[in-house]
Amino acid sequence: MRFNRSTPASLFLNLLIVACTLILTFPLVWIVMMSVKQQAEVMTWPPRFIFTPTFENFRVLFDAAHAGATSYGTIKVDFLTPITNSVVISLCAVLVSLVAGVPAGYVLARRDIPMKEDIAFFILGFRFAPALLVVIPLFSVFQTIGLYDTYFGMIWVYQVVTLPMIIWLSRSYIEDIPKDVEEAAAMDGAKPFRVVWHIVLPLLKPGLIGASLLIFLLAWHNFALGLILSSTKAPVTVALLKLLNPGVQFYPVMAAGLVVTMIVPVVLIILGQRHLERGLTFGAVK
Amino acid sequence: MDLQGIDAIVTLQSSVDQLSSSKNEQVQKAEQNALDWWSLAAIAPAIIILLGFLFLFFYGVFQSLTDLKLGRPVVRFIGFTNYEVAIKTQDFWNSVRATMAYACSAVLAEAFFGLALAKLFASGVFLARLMRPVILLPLVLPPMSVALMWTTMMDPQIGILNYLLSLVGIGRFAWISDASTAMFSLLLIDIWTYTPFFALIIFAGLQGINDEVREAARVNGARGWATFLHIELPLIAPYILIAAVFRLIESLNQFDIIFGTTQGGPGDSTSVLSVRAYITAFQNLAFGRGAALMVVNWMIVLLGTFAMVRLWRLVRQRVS
Amino acid sequence: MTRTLAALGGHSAHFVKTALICSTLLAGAATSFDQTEAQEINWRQFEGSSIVWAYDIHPYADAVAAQLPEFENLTGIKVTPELYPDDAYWNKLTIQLSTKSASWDVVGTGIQPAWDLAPGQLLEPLDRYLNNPKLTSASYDYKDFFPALRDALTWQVNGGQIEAGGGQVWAIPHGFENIQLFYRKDILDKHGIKIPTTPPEMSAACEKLKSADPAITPLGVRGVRFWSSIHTAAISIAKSYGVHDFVVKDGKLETGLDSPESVAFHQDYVEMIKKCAAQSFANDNWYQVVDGINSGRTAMAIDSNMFGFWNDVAGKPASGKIAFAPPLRAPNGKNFESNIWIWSLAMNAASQKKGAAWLFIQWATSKQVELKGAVAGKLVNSPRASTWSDKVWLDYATKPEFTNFVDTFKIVQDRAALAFTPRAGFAEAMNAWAVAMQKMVNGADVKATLTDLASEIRSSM
Repeated sequence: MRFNRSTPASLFLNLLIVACTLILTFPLVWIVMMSVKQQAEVMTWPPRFIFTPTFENFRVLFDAAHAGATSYGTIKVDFLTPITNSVVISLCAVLVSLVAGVPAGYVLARRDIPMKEDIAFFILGFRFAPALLVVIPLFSVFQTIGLYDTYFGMIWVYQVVTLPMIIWLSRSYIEDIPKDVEEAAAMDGAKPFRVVWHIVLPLLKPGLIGASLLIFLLAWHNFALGLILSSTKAPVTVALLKLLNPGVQFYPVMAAGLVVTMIVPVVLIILGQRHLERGLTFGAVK
Repeated sequence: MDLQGIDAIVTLQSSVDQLSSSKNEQVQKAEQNALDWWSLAAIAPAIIILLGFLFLFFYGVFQSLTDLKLGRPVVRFIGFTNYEVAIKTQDFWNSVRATMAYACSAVLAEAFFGLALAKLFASGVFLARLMRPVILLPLVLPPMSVALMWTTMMDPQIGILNYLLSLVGIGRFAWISDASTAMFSLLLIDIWTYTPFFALIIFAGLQGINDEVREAARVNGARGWATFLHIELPLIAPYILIAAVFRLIESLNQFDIIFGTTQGGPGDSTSVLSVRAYITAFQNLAFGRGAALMVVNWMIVLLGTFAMVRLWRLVRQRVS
Repeated sequence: MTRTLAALGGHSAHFVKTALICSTLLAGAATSFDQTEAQEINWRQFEGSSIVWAYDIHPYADAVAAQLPEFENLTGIKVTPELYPDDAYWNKLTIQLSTKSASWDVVGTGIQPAWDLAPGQLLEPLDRYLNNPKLTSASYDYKDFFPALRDALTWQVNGGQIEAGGGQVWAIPHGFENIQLFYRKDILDKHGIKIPTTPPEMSAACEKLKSADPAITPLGVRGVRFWSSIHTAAISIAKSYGVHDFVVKDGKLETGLDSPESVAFHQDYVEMIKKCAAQSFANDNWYQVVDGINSGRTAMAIDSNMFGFWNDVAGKPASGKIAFAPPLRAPNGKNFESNIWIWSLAMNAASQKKGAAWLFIQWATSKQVELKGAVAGKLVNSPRASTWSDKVWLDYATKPEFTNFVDTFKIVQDRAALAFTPRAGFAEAMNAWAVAMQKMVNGADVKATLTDLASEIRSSM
């Protein structure tokens, strides 16, 4: 950067970075390797690094008609259903949050309403409550009103994770837009609603895309809500646990499942890296 | 659960700014905010949804005062009996200890390694720029996937970690299967996953330090370590602390990683409050008792957060 | 009859033909009555419905699933199996039924979990189906199930508790297991090890094995922090030490887990686990036990006898290498004890398709499905007396690859009995025992841990 380093020092730092990168990526590489091994190869000692790859595990994962054989019985894994569930729930949760959260974020950023700061901190407070304390009573409520194991119920409870985030994010993005843009438009006689729709929203779009990616990721990560409140509508994180429990060591198929759950966020990062990085660093750098 | 913190910093900071600036705005906008129905309508849906959760939260606190058991129709209000029963058992205190030990060690270790990682990547050497996106990687993976991934690698019989250890002549290690090493193994997973979180935030802090400050220190004859200790560290301390607040909250609530690996075992060695509450409520179906454990967990989170925020304010005052 | 009469009216030739057809049909009916299904119930009465059957990932599930196409052809009912790994399954089962969710129709259960489910009216009592001639074929022959198994699955619920001895039928057995010690003959022979009969003997044998071949895990036992690791080795051996999970004291139920017998048992057992079991004991369920025996990484195991049998099946890597012995007993005890586990099929009380569900339960526990599953080497230990007197099964089970399976089965079955006290709250108490066991194996003081365990169990009684 500023100070020119001697070559050995720079070499040493580069080596350190290689080491860190290895530590951060090795588990993933290992899991990807495991996902294309056969069960017998996974169980050998010492572990093998060279083998003929097979996509059998992915077939077992998605082929509902044919099951995978293990030494303790056949395992039929229908992984497509939980993936569909996760996509549906996460997408809808993001949409609902956007619809309900962005107007709230706007109001908190631009308007003066009574107890504004109290409301803002009330929303932030949702990050402090243990999710389980909400979920335990929710389980009995869902059971009574028939929302247990429904998409509707799941999308609603996911708001506990996604909604506060989107309100906070959109609020900070809106604060970032110069106020005179709006004021200038208002001077020209545009109605407040039109100002928001035609001026603020387009400016907000990149930020909102980044925020949406981020909260989609959060929704995709969630485990506890699905574990407790769903069964057939369980997300993919819960389905994973079915493959590895202190019980079944169906390692290669589980590894294939892990690869699938990890691909989605990694793809998201690649697709929206610019937006996401903006969304992430924006806060800390400011 | 992991990325939220970064953005929340934004918001924490901006809201602090807000507190000072909003007074002026209030005066300016006094005429237009008399009764702003549009604003109320815009904010109402979000508030209603969140109030629903708040209600559930209090309902959960109420449940902790009952002997609710799933599958049994009779529910009685029993006051603080669930709490009294809990605090009399050794297991409860073990769980409290495990929760705090897990969270504190994880946060301390992550802050340390995160600082090192941030410094390393801020050094600006060739590979640092190239490899920076890799830091994000552990943060974007679902914690449950991370937990299962490490469980596979920590298998005492065929796990890759034992193989790597055997290469350097260390015998088989039981990792999460042995009570004496389970907590350490979980910490390892947590550290691998969330050190990047600290690194990212501290990195941002380092970027914010004016180069002139460093230059001035250098001119005054301060050497590498001294510059770091006396100039940089105080300046990035608020960043470290804010990251620590968010990690502390989440580590005290950690469920996914522990449930995905040991489910609280072996014995009770990693039975943190959230896992114990889950097992009490959903394996033994004693909902009242499970809720009581969660309330205790929540109070620990509250106390921890309060202490950290005070520390943060203190440091900020001294810095500025 | 009217048609026959009409035929009599003029067309005598036609009559003869009709009579012939009728008699052949009758004869056919008679033979099939003898062998398998009777004609008198309409198997297609729930045609077109589709039900979900939830079960453990288990060879028994495989045995039934393999024959599912026959059921679907017979009834036109579509059955979707939902299989989960052991402890995930039990948690899921409790939650699923407690929420009164209708998504599972038929569930696999054992007696003990059923004790916890019945008081909340989460299981459908099956008497009214069994006794309905429209729903249950006469050839089903419920009395063919061993009386002990039928009795164990029959009880009444009184004030939220279980009263054994009479009452309603809560589930139908379709496979049972007794606990035995099974071992790799090849490994024990190679190292010249005598089959141990008590925990101290086992500890000694393990030390010998370990010093001979450090790569071998001497003994496979379950250790997960869940009741599933109690109901096999632990409770069977404990019973021979005189340990009871619950005893009646002054007319009140009281746990017997802090008794002097229990302390003695745990001292021996914990010592044995420390010397014998795998490092991963705390995470081991039966899957790991079976895997170890199957691959030869484990020399001996104390678990359900069917796992040994099942890996002796011709073509498997361990075929013919696994032999059987009674489970361990107390050093000063006269007899060994063996717990039984009954895999059974029960009906979710919230199911919307109870008729179809019952047809499936009936079919899956029928004589021919039991027999077919048994000779496929999967549905071992049929609960039906008729299977055990069937030459096909006996011929199969006495094949040389199954070593001494049948003989040991007879010896052990004489003493095999349910080792638990019928009681709702089984899971909570036994889960706590499993956790305590892990603590003791990790070095916690046996006596103190058992005292804590007993007070924990008492506090929730």
